[in-house]
Amino acid sequence: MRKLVLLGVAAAGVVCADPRYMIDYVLPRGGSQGTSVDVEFHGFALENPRQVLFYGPGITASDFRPYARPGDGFKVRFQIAKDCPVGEHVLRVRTATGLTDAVTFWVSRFPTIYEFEDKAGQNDTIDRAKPVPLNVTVEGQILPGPDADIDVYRVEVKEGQRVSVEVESARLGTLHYGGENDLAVRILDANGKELGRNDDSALFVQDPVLGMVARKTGSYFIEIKQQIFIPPRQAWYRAHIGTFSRPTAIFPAGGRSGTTISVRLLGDPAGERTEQIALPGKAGKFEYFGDAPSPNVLRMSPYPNVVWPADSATLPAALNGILARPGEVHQYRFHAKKDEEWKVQVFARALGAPVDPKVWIRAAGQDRHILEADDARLQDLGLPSARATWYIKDQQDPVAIFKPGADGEYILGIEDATGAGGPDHVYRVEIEPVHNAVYTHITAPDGYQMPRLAGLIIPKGNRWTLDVQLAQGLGNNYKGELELEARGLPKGVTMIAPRVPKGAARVPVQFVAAPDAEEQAALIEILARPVDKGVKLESASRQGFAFTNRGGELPWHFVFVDQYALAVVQPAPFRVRLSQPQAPLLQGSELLLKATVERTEDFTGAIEIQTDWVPPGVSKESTVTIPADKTEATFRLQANDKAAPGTYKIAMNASTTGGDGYSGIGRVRVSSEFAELRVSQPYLSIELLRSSVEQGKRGEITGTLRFNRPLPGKATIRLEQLPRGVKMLEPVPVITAADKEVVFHVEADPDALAGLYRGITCEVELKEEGQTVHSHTGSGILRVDAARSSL
Amino acid sequence: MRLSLILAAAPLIAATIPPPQPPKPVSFRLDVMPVFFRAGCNSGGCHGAASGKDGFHLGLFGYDPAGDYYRLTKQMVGRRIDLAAPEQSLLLLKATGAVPHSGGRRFKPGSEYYSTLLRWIQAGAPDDAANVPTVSGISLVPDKVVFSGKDKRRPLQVIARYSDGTTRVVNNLALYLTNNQGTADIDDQGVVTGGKRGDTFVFARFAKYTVGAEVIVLPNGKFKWPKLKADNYVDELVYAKLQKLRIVPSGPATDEQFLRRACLDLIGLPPTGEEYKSFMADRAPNKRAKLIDALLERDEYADLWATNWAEWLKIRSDSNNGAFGTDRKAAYAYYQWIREQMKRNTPLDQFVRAQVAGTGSNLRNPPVNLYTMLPQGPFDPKGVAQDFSQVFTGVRVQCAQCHNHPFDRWTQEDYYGFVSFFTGVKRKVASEAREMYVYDDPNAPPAKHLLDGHPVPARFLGGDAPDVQGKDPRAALADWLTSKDNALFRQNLADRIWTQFFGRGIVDPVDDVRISNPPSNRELLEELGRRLADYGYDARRLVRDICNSQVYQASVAANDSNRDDDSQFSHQRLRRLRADVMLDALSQITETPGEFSESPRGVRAMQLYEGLYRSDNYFLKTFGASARDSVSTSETRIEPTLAQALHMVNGNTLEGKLARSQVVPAMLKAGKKPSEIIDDLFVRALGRKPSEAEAKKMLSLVSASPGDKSGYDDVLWALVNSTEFEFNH
Repeated sequence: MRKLVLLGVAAAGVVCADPRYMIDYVLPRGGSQGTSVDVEFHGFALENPRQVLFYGPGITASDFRPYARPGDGFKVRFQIAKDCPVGEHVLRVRTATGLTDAVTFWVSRFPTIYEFEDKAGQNDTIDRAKPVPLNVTVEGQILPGPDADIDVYRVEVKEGQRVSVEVESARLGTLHYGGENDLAVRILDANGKELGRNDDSALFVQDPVLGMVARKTGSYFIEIKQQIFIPPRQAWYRAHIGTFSRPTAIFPAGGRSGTTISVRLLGDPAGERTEQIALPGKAGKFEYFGDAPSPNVLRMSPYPNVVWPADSATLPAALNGILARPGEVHQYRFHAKKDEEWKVQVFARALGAPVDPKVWIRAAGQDRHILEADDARLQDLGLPSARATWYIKDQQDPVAIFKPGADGEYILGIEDATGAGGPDHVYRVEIEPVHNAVYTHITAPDGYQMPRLAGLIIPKGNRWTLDVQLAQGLGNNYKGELELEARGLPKGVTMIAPRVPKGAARVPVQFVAAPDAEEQAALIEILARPVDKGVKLESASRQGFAFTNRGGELPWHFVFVDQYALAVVQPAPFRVRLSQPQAPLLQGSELLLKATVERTEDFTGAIEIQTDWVPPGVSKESTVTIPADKTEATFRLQANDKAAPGTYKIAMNASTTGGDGYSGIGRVRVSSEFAELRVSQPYLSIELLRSSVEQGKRGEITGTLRFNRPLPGKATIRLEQLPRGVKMLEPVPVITAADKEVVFHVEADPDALAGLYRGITCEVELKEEGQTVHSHTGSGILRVDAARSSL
Repeated sequence: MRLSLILAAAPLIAATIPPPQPPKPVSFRLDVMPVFFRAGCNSGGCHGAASGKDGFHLGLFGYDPAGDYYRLTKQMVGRRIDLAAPEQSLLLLKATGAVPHSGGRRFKPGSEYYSTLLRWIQAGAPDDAANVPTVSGISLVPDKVVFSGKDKRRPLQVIARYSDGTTRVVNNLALYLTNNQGTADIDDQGVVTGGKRGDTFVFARFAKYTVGAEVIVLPNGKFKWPKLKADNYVDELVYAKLQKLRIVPSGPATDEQFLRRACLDLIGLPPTGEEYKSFMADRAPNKRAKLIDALLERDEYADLWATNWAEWLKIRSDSNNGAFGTDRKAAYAYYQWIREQMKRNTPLDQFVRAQVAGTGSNLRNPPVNLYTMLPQGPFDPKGVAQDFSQVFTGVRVQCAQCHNHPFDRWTQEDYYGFVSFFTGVKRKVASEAREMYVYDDPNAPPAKHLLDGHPVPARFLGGDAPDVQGKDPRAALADWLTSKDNALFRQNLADRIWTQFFGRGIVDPVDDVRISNPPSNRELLEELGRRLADYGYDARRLVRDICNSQVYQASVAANDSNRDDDSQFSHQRLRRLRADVMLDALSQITETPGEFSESPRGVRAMQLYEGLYRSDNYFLKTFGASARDSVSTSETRIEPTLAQALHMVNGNTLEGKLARSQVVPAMLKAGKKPSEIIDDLFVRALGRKPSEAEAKKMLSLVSASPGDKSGYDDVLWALVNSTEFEFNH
């Protein structure tokens, strides 16, 4: 373990922590059931760790030991329960003032053995292979440096014994960005003859899976290396080496929830076998491990299986088959009624099967496909996506809504889009009635889980504003207003959520921690509820974390969770107030918001303010700093011509300076109470008539006034965007509600450039509720003519 | 003897052709269009340009007669053609230079061309009837001319055949070109004039056809062919041609020369000291054959051919994370698959077939990367068809995309028919962004003809249209391509192999096969192709034939008769080492491992799966390594430049290697004498021992401090800066 620590720290010294993430990486990458492990956290702004928040059961953390520079990280002891679920565990850390991003830690059922290679070449060959017993998890590292590191392990195997290797490497997602850890595995005999190799697997994409049955007793060698040389960065892996069975697919891949199904386990080098699997009561995904380190995914449905070669179904139903030969197409007949809505969802790649399924439906006796679906978008699967670039293998499985145009018999066909086939090419098609669903996400607009925007960190006695997105599930028909409900809020924390108007995709929501709330972290849900109580609407919280992100925003590994983490942290040394703006924000105009901060006596720092969330069509300045000696500032909003009129809740967020301004890491941030922002139409619009002026002469530009609502008093109007050399003459025209038009006097210099100028506009200035309001309107054309004398 | 017979027969053939009988009345397609062609009006630099010239557009080289008729007679009525006053037609005024014309005067008033156009306009500028005959072929008579000595003249006759069975002499309407003006010039009436000794081709073009005639110019005086024993068919066929040309081949290369040449050509590395010693000490009469066999089994042989193919197939990743299936992983997988096939000596027909007809994931079934690497971006069936044709047949069909090929037989119909093999190829992202599925959609429509948009079903180049209804047409394409009967394929592969050992193809460049670029020794090319196919496309067997020939093993030193020969393989050619070979040679000589960015230490330049592309290596770039931007063999450049010389003299590659090298210190430590060290350095760098004079000179450089590395570094520096090192000879 000492060596591990040294290596980790050395590597951290080379690559600076990314200030967008509090936790850069965690080592070791995992541990074993029933053991305790000292875990190192490396990162940025990690002072005063208080709690490790696990998204699932089985691990507890204690005994934080900060490094010499406390912000760089700490060590903490993980106690892994004997019955701790095997596989990936998602966790975050609450510090005295913050909540980190999510990272993962992997639990194995086997004892963990650490590689301990500190110089490439120590276990690179069969002769220098590191001996390991069977049924262990080896945690090793492809060492950084110019030489391609190869790790070879020796196992002693008896004749007829199965040797399985399953590597977790890309899946570990050790780094948030880069660290493309794509490994390949080979099994060799004592003469170096290759008995098997795997680079990518259908089950785990970049991570290899390999198995064989030993023909004779002896030493066998497991070789692990990078598939292609990429300068390694934190290239850790956990290789499970043992006699476990690693099926590549299970058929049928699911059944009726609450029943026991008889299944065939496929792809085991020792041969196919049949097992009984009890499916629990709840519909959805079921992970079947057997004795393998990672699960096969099965589906549970509240309706029966149809298993090929049976080819007729009564809906709802789950159709199950194996596309065993290239080009094979399975067709099922079913009856459906006009205007029924069915969700047709295929599961194949999501199960880890090597199928790229394509599904189609046609009316019986006709050739034309009335539905065809090949791939899916993340949002079709109810998952958040960043910049539309996120991609997971499950998206190869199509999902579509089928709405028959008439009562009748229909044929559903399923095939591989690329024409492939094979013995473990398992699929399952679930056809069930469409249900309404709206999911909530808290992804920042840039796709990252930046604490500044997607965090939920509430200083005691203060408040935090979160931008919640609402995403309609595939086939959702509920388009009405929504209320947001918070579940699992800890004592002393309340949520203030304005009603979500029809069609709104983002709303600000506030969380308030009472002054006496306990400092703690919790997992909560934010759920959308229909205002119309008679409607049934499914909702869930969905958040995605990307790991091993690569250029082009193409991460290799994602963690999708269905709870949001919330932290109540120590009190902030200031609060912020947003004055209720009296005047509306007019389309095509600006509005200044006024914010006031109140510091505690011992805090004298500068404070940055910004709103973060603004209504659609409204833009804002980036940040405004209130210097240490000031308590007030204004903040400018600007509405374009299309900003939707209405009343919106808006908050001012304020944070300390220092740390990372973009991500908000290393800062203390609070929100003001909501104020109401009114977005309105301007009082009037002006249509400028096309005019001309001669060089060196005066001219007039006339504007026709159109009032949207009565003008409260007088307004002055100026021309803007006049061509160079043309100026508006004083006095500035003043209008009242009684005027029909306005006339501007202009003068062109003798050297004003002759030509046609577009985009001349008017600035209207008026006083409302004591505040001067400016708005822009009109788009006129002015022709500057050459002086006649010069012709 | 055969030659003189041909000479005698030629006039007879000409005499049997009836005298010109232009069909009456003047036909737009048969008479008027050829005038535009002959006068250059519809060439690419003039009105044949895509957007025409000065407001007037003609189909390039006359590929669109209907369009041309419309533009002349209907587009601007009364302007270009004036039926009321035919002589005042702008067409005639411009062509004769009577009014300003960017193209100047194309022909004189009163000339035959003028009269043809005038008569046509006088007749009302009629369009042809639908059944107007079309040109179905042309021939050049005679098709072989031999001159004894310079400045002899010989008229050729260009005879056009029409679809109605008639023929017509079109010398006045054809265009002419020569492949080597120095040896044979041809004038605008088809009269050939012989020049300096040699063998070349002259061509006539008419309608969409190009035909050639071989012209041989022999020196005056007596010629005696020496008694030479051919070792195999390569020698026989090259010697037969040389004898015909009265060229005496050079004598054999020395063992030292042969060893270095064979190592560089077969494995891309110079011989090591050990290899030198053992070869030189071998007294077996067949030691050269043994060496060839041994080198063929080396992994470096596979590296070299994997690199050749990787260059021809543009294997490289794109910098945007492989949005089109061209991630590094795909490039690596494809390269490794090729290398594996080269190592196993997979028959080349199977090797190509797996790529052409492949389906599935580009990471799990790497040969399908043919369809990711050729496009290097969005899939364009036309671009893929062009690259495909060039790589696997040597034919460049791209000209026929916009017009019938001007220097070859390919028509637009051929072009779009070939493109149709690829219009169904589909690609989609698979399990992750780096992986792409490649497959065929058998229901995809074929390519559309550029001219009128009619669909052109899949058709082999110069062959039939297979029945691919509802099927992946690429399977049929692979069958046709790799069939033993496909001379294009087998000959191009054989020629690519040949080029590796001579630095010049029998067709040169090897990937520009066209009628107007004929092979320098057709019989040899045909035999090599036939053998390769008969060997079951076993490349090594053909390589063995070539390398065991006296032709390959000849000296580079020329004699009086073959000094000017650059195409008949009468002596070996001096060839600058390829960039990767040279860099690997420097690494081997200095025993310093290669270091390339994004590759592990110790990888040789010849093993870089993306070649120059990702290695970011100044040496490789400067010495002309292929950037893999196109499938063209000319991507790999071996011409010397000043930058290369400067880099060898001043650059950090050699300097760094010399500084890191432990070769000399190890020899010094082992107590070797200065002369032994210098001998060793000569063998490492040049594959030979120094001459006495050289040894003496070099010793003087180190004699001041014989135990000091730097003196020997200077020696080695000088050796690898010599042309002898930089060239294969």
